[in-house]
Amino acid sequence: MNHQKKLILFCSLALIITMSSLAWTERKQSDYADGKDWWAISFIDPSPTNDSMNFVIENFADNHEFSYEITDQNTTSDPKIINIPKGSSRQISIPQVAPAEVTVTLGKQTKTLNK
Amino acid sequence: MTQFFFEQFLFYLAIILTLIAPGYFVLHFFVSKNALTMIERSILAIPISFTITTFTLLCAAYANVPITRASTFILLITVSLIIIAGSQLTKRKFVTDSSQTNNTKKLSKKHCVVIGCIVAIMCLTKGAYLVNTIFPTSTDLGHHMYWVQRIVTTGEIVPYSKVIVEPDNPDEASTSAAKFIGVQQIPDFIIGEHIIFAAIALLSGISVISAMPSLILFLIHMVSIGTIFILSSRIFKHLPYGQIAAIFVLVTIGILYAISGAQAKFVSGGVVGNILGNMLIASTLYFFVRSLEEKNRTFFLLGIILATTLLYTHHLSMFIFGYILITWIITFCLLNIREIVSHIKLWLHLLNWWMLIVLASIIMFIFFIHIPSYLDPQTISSSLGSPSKSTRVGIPLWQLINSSGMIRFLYGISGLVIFTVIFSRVAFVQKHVKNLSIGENTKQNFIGTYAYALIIAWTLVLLTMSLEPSILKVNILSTRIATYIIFPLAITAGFFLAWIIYHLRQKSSTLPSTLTIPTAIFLFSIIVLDGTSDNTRSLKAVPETQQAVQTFHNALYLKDHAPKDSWSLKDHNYIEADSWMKVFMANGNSDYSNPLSRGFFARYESKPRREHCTREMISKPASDLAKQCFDNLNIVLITVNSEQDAGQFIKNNDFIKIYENNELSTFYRR
Repeated sequence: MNHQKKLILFCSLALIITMSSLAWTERKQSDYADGKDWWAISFIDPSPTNDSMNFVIENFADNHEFSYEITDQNTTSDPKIINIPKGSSRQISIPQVAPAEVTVTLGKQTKTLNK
Repeated sequence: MTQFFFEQFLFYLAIILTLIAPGYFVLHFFVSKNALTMIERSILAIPISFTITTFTLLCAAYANVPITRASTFILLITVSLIIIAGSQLTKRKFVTDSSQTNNTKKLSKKHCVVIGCIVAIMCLTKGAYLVNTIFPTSTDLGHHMYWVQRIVTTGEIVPYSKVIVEPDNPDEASTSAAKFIGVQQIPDFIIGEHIIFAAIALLSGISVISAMPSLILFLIHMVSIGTIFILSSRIFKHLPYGQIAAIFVLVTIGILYAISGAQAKFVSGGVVGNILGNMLIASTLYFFVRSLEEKNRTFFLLGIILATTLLYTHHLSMFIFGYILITWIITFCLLNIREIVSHIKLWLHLLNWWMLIVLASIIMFIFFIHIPSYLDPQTISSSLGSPSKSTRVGIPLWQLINSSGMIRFLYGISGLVIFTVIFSRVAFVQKHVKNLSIGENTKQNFIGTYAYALIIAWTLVLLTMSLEPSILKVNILSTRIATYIIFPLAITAGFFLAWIIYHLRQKSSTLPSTLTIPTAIFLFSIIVLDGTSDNTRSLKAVPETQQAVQTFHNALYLKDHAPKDSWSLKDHNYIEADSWMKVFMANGNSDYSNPLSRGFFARYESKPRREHCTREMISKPASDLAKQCFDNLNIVLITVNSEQDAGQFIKNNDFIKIYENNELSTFYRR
């Protein structure tokens, strides 16, 4: 194999290693859970015309003990505890209907949804 | 891990099919082996493959063939087979004059090792920067990838247009509601910037919202540098220090100042057109120089085809290339006025009947198949003429020096002067060069007449366009033009270093022999120090991708839950990677403007006649003006930074909160 062929092979290998390393880095960075600490809540059906208050908790945080309560017509339900491992999500079906507000707490963070 | 390796395998297969194989077949079957070295063949295969892939899929789209994975695969395989079959049918290769081709000194083992080390350092340096910027957050890249995603999801080439929002009363826009007034063409995007990404995404199955676009830009960027290297090798091939000069060019453009300016920063910043344009400009000039120096019609044809590709890829690069070409022709004519008739005969020789057929076909393609979106009288006339804004009157010299790299600029200009003088064809100058003995062993014909004129024209025209654009009637952002000068400066800087070191080692050198090596080391060291410190300053801290990831998560929710035919609104000031939100929503029915965006606050002040609805709807959603805007624009979903802007929606009974993460909240307007 002459020198130019070896050079081309070497340069191709260098490029492949660089590009694949960058791809691997981005893959880890784009993972919702890897090295991250956040969570999200959302309505399954957000339309105001649908009075269902069912919602989803998606956990990408290190902590996994959530509590949630529903407030409707000035009544607040008892807090319910739910355990959601990091990287998982849970759909929560609740009997209350709109108008109401959902309050979810994880550690010191609180998030709300309302209809 | 297995999935990752499989994805990477498909990714590189896609690259081979779109960016390597077609061009390689063209060069292998239609260009003699002696005409190109293996390295040149490997590098030049990529811009040619880019051309073939882009035009194949463009033609297919216009023939109403949907652009899918299967059709892309079949089309590219078919084109490759056609190229192979075509070469067999013609049964001859386009052979150059062998006395020209065998003059290239082969790279020695030592040179190959040095080049290999340089490439490895390039990968390390640029990789070190990109590892902290590879995650897709760049605004420009997000805008471009919207169109790529449109092609991927619809299988069609769509016109570059968007719905326009205008205030009802532009004279009092800040207090006036706005409405949709129609669809407007977007001249900033050109099809050549997007087809290649769509093809690779389709073939590999890799999402557009990933590192894939940046990796392709990185590959193209490295090919640009490689093209400058082989161009320098050809220009300096007859010089006793020619290969060293080309290697120094590779150092000054590849390793030093490798991140700032139009280098790795543009890769992660998603300046797609510039990156592609740099590759096409360099490769087009390569083929034109060789075709003229060697009277080679095949290379001339390839140059024309690549110039056409440039026309369909990036308007600014095409504009710059046009100026380089015109200046090259004028410079050449002035320097060779006495032999101009013989040169005109050469040009006519290159333009034989089938070349004219190709040119006619290109013109017909432009006007009857697909005209680049920016080729309209208004866009063209706005780019020519006296500078109309303060940002277009040219940049100060110190700014040009800083952006080009101080020592590289100094060496580049010095190299240009020396190059111009010692290879001058003017008798008066030749005589003085001989008297000074700086031209010893440096004959004028060591540099081709066309190459000589090109280097001078290329550098001078970009200097003028950057510093005093009014002289050339250029009305374009001066800082963007200045990014193009690094390539000719790298060539002349590499030449300067090689020339200085070569002459220091000559017996006739005025320096004592004991100072020769320290002087050479000193000259080399200061550019290395300056270039590497520029790299160090440009490196970024480890990124915080958590915010961008949450934006993407929110965008997926919007995509799945936005009511049909409704519009969304988001904020550009406080949401990370917000321009990528529309990429998630790209489909056959989406619009580039959706979600609408509250832009940077300063832009509402600097452009008082623009719509202010987007600002009002987020800043004061309860105001009468905001309510009218919401109704006119059919805004249903609004996404804002929870800390900055959620408060005004939470208190408002017209909105319900339907989504919240650590950064963002989305509200639904009742």
